[in-house]
Amino acid sequence: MQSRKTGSAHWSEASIWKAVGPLSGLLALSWIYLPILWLIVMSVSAEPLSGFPGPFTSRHYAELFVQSGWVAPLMHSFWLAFAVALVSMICATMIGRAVPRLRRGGLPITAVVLLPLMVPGVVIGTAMFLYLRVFLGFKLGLWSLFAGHFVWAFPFSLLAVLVVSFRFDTRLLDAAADLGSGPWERFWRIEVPLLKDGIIAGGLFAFLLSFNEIARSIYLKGKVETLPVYLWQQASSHSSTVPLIFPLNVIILLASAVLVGVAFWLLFHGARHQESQR
Amino acid sequence: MNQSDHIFTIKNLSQTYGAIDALRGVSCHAVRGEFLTILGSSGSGKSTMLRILAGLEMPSHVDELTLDGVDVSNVPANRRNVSTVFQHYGLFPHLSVVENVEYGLRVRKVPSAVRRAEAAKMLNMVQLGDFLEANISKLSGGQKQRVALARSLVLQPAVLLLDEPLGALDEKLRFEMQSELVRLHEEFGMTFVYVTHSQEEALTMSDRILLMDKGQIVQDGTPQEIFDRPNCRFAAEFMGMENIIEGTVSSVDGATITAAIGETLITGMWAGSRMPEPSQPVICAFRSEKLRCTAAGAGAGAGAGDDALNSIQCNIEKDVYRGKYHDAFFATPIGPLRARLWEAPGDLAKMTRLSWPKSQTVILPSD
Repeated sequence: MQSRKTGSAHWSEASIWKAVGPLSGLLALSWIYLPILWLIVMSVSAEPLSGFPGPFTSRHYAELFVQSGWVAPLMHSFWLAFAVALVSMICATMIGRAVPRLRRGGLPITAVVLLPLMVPGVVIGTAMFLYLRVFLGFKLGLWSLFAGHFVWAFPFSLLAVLVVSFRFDTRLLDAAADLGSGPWERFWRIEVPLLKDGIIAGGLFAFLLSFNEIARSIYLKGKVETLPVYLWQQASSHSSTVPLIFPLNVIILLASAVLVGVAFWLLFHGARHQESQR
Repeated sequence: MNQSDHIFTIKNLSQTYGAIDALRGVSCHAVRGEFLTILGSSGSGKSTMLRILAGLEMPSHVDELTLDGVDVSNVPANRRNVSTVFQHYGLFPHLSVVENVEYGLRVRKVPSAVRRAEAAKMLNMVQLGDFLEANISKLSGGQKQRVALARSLVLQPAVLLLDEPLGALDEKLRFEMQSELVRLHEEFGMTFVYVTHSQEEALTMSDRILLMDKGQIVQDGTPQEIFDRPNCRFAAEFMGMENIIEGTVSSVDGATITAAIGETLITGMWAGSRMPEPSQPVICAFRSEKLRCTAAGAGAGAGAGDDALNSIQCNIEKDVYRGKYHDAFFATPIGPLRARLWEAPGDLAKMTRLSWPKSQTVILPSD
């Protein structure tokens, strides 16, 4: 016993292990962020395809105004994402506020609704394509993109709403009714303000998921171009417009970062705020 | 009493949840301006009755439900001129203190300057004048209770319903709020309907008490009537009569009944509704604090000879010290009795006789 206490340290006690955590963390983070950083640097470099930074220029950003092939796909993607977000928010609110109040069946309903989260995008894309185009013979376009994106985005919206709706104290609705509010007013004055963080966060997630969607879009787009599909086509085509992808991606990245930031802030800061009020 | 003196009237109200009868044919009323307490243990149906009065639940069956002379049996909560103070307060966490109090006025489209002034005035009355803009989460339990009270009072409802409003408060605060509620009741002169499981609260604050058990009103009377003359076994037990003995009627002399328990005769006041027949089974109930014990040979004066007293032989079994008093448990020919002794009783082993006033003994129908 004496010798074990004073003898040389066991390998698991070596001080190097304390450094392993931060080091592997740094490695992982660089793996994630270096390509993005590289993309940003290249977007202001004269020859992005050469793979070497500099000389620095804003030429490619200016070029975006000249070569406007990206505008239509962007508009498609934007309005598509907007519609998906709006409808997801409404549906998620309606279902999300109902599920916690169900006497039974809440869990199975939630499971069935959230299941599309687990189904690979390719499967949903292929399945919907075969069903809508081949089986039913519909002409695909924005509407089928909307349907596919909605199936994908809605569960995330619902999750965001459920986070707040399970915390919602329905006795407050009794109090509001008692003070003279009818059903409509109870919903808008009490429920919506207390659920709004989750609803908005859910909407923002839905927007981003639709805006970034590519796996399902490939199957469901018909003749409509969305921005991610357009960018992929440009990136892989070696055409003269390739340098444009760099600035365009940077802009999308920044816009997405802001949206995600707002969503998280609403969801978690707001949730904490509400929790402290109990 | 004139019907128009009734602020609400309920006739034959029943409420069922599936197979459970929460209320079974309840009829009652409140007189305008009175402090009426609905007293009962949990599951007695008292809260259900309050929710039905508030309109938060619709009755399964009712012959008549009028509020201030108007039939409200099918009117939802938001269209009734009543307001509830909930045990859980039900304050809106996204609104400030003054916004909570303003809520009902805002719903009633009162202009914002007017409603702000009204709300501030009401918050002053409940001593929260310095907390107008405070966040609900920053308030203590007692303060939340006051906000909830102000939020209801500001609407000047015909009836203020209070659902165990002091249940979540500690003892000291509860006493404070009791006198505060009585003060507010006097100041506003509106009808208070107060639901509680605490006989102490009911006795202290009410003009009248409805005692409920298993979805029915078992007794309706003033605090004193219910405390001194419980009319059934449940009421006697609920109002804290520790000594309850079963016997049969031996003789009837006006309202004074003598009951036989084996060889022993116990005399008391009849508190049931219909006068009893001889040899009908009855219950004798009396409070432990009314019992006195005396030592052997201390003279018959305090015991057997006194016509105003019931008296019986006893043997001490157990003595429990409770700070302000002792609870002494005696074995007697009519079964174990409990005496609450306020003064140091001396040597309890020498005590051979228990006595208590006949006027403080109630005889009840056995049910």
